[in-house]
Amino acid sequence: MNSIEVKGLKKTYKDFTLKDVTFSLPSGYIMGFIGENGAGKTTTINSMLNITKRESGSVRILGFDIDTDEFSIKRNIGFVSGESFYHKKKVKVVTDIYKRFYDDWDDDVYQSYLRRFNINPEKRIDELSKGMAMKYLLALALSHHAKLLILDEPTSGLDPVARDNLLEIFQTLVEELEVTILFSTHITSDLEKCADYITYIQNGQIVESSSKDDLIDKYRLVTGSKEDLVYIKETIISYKTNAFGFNGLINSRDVLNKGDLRYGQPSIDDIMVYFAEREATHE
Amino acid sequence: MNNLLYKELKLSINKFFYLLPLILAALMFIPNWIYTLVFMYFFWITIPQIYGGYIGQKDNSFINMLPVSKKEIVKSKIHAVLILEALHLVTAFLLGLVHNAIYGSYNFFFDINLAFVGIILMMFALFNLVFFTNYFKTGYFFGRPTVYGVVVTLVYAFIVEFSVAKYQGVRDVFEGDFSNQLLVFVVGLIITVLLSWVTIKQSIMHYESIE
Repeated sequence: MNSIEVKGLKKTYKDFTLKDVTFSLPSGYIMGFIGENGAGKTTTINSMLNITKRESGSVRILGFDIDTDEFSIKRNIGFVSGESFYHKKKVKVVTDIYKRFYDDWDDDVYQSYLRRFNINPEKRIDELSKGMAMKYLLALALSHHAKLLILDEPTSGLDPVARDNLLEIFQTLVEELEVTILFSTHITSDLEKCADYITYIQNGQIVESSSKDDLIDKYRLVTGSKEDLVYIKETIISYKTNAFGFNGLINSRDVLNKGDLRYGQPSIDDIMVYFAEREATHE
Repeated sequence: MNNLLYKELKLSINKFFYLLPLILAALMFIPNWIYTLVFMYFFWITIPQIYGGYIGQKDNSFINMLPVSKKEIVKSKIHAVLILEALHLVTAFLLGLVHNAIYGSYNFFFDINLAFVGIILMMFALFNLVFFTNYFKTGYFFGRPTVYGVVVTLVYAFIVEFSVAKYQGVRDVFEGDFSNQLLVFVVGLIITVLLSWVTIKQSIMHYESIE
């Protein structure tokens, strides 16, 4: 079963358009939603959750249609927008308000997460580090038994240790509670660590949405001399020239063993960079 | 909606704004003054502070997490302001009665009487109509809506206070016998209820249509 099914999502702003965004996420997995800053990650998430109006497209979350069952969906998911709020309020005060909105709020679970994440409810939100604040938001979401977590840039602004710690928590949640997680990020190393699926958005359009391994298998880094470029110039996604020749990205199906062309496995970073290069060249 | 209203009153609105009605109501002890001004401080201080606070405290980020509709969000925010306005009106009127007991009820401008309550109710309703219907076009920017609301209420208050001070006929209606005052109060109350209904409906419509 898919926890998220998005089909043909469209949203137009004055200077930006989300075009036919389609992807799905099977239950019990982690999907990284990647793209450069301004690629449309937050707009997609906001449109999925009816926070902003979408023009067309359908969204099904946990089997329900967002247009007809928005509230049952929102009661069963945890959405964290990446920004903390009410910084000057104590953790316990914010929790007291938050829990009123959820019928199946479980105080024992909440207390256990506070202990596990070492969060003092007497502290003000701005006294928590960024990583701790994110853990607190996770504790809130998990205490009403959210089956799906949608997290917008949860690792943004965290130091490497806090980021690694948070990603480990994601993995634990999937393993222990079979929670499904969709998180957006522009930090590709997050994905190498814990994502099962990757959806890559660029300039409002989905470039790829597949399992991490499939995505990496689908492309190859290619290097060669400038003379060799002629063999693959039509099929190469984009390339950069240097004193020795060129480096580029190519679809695995377009691999040609001619001249001195050499191929290697790309990282997610490489894929993002070369697709961005292609976009820049086209502009 | 009740949970959201609780959130507004407990989390979003600073406790100072529950004390402010009492502080401002003390202005009713100034003898021979323009008492409509007492309530205008609410538009000049409380409203920008609360709505600026929403931005500063990232209220939208918190609300977006919650399973609530836009309609409920609008209603809770308007109801919270209505409660504060009622608090201002009740405390100021009670201290106004003390003012009357000390200085007598005559005032060069509008007297403190039941008709005055009706006039103030309508002033609040007018401000709410202008402020909220404009604010909920964005649900974020409060500057222009506040300025528009303040200008409209200043014009309204000027017309009322000037008319009472200048024209005896108007003074007779607003400051005549109790039945006259009661009539103004009841009409004011009805207009306030109607305008508040329109305010809520229009604000919901604007907020739901935000792109």
